[in-house]
Amino acid sequence: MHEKELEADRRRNLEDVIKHARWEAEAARRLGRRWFELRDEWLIKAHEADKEMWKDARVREALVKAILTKDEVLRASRTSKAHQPT
Amino acid sequence: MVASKFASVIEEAGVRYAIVAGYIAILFGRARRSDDIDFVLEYLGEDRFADLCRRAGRVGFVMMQGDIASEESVRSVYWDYLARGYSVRFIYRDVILPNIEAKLATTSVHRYVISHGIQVVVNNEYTLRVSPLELQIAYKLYLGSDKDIGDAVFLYTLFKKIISLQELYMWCERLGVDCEVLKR
Repeated sequence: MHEKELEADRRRNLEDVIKHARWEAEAARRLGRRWFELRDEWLIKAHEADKEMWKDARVREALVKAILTKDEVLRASRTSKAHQPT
Repeated sequence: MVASKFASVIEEAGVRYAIVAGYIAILFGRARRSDDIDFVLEYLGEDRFADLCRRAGRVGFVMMQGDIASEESVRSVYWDYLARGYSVRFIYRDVILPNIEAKLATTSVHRYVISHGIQVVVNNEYTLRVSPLELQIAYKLYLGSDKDIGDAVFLYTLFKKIISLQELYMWCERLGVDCEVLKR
């Protein structure tokens, strides 16, 4: 894809994110407790599915390893930036 | 649940804290998931951290970077991570995500977040301390990913009538971000 097209695509995506975030905030304000009930129903379902997966020790181990590896990469990049001459 | 459990452990240990980043938008109703719940803790020495870990271990937290049940391991994690400005992760029982990502207040912004944090009462059941919203909105814009900008717009739309716009603009200026996107 051409760079300009990519940029336009990125901009459109961001506009969608903004519109959706605004819609969510307005829904939360309008529906109050009901909004939280709907939202939580979805979040709990997704969480239960995750917990099912984590029962497998290999999945659990891989996930923990991935989180720690991501932290180490961030840590290393922060350290190397700190050592760069300014 | 995970956030309230950890918050009550910290409070019992007499440690001041504030929750920052994405979890704040979720707490106020954003319909998305988060991998971590970021806690900034007041600056602690090794002994107070060991005490906090003892308390956390007793209620079911484990530490990802070390063994929460071993004093030696906890002290080593303190010097290898927290004292160097890095965060430490805690998992509550079988919940890997979201996990707690805790770091010590090492910057003036961290200290501001703790001293000016606001108390949120959840369902009249428990309270959490979170970062001032004005700073959080500006910080999310500073981070700049689509998800972060979405969080900033969400919080701004929800709270624009009650937050201090002057304070929001001050933080945007301090962090060098354009807050026009909030009003578009």
